[in-house]
Amino acid sequence: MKSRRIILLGLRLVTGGLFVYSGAIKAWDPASFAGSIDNFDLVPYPLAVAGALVLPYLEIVCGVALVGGVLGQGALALLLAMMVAFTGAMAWAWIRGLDVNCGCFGAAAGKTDYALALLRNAGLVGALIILSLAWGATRPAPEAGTGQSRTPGPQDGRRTPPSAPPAGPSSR
Amino acid sequence: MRTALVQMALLVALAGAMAVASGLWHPRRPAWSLPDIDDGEVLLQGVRQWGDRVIWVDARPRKLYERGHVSGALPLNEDDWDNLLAQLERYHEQRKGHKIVVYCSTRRCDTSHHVAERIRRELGLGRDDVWVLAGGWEAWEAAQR
Repeated sequence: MKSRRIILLGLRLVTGGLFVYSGAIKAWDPASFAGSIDNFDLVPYPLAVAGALVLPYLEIVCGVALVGGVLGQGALALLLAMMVAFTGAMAWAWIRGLDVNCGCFGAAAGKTDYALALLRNAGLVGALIILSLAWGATRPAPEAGTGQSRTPGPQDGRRTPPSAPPAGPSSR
Repeated sequence: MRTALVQMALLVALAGAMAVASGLWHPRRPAWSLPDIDDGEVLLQGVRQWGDRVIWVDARPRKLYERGHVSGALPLNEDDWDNLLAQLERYHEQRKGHKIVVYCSTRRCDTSHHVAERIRRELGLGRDDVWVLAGGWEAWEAAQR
């Protein structure tokens, strides 16, 4: 049980760190990232610019949330949605035979190897799904020294009326 | 479910605030509209002014070249770079003074710029000798309609 928690913690830190890194590279040069989005020829250019401004910071804040173990459910849902969208766009570009740089880890990475990029995305989606399913087990324990994972129920200092039904997994 | 939605809204709001700041003050913030032409590019109208003193180079993958290309264009892609470059070099030597115009798929694909730079470097040509077609194959096809 303890080893499972350690593995999940490692997965959470590595996945979160990867998104922070990926977002930071894009946030460093939003003009190049706008060009990369535009390469896919899926959205009008102003929308590509908006995406180039928002997506890197969304990756960063979600990655930080994952690493820090806060707002995790929301971060995982957003990252999953982004990864599904990125993967779909990439598969579509591959089908159309576009010779683009996906900008996944910055525009300087060169022409995209679609098979490799899709494989990497599949791995990340897998990691995000595992973390979503096991989120309760990867969060910091509420009481130091118990060594036990938190049981689903009203926690985090929230009060619920005595008559309230048991809540789902807690929010943190 | 509700918790996840609230958290998502918080994260999106935070990222949105940072994005607004980036859009306003980032030194490398993108322009909201595309420039008609980038450095080293030439519009199709400009190429037409050069008449037949143009060597077209198709930098797209081979299968796209075989599906359709600018009449007389030579393929040049990284899959068979050395052979195709030698072919271009021989062709260019027989047509001294011709401009080389490279194109790839869309208006923002990077390959044509990359290939043009390699041609300049490996054949010892200048910026005035090798150009990139603004808009690429997409612009060419649109002009044929």
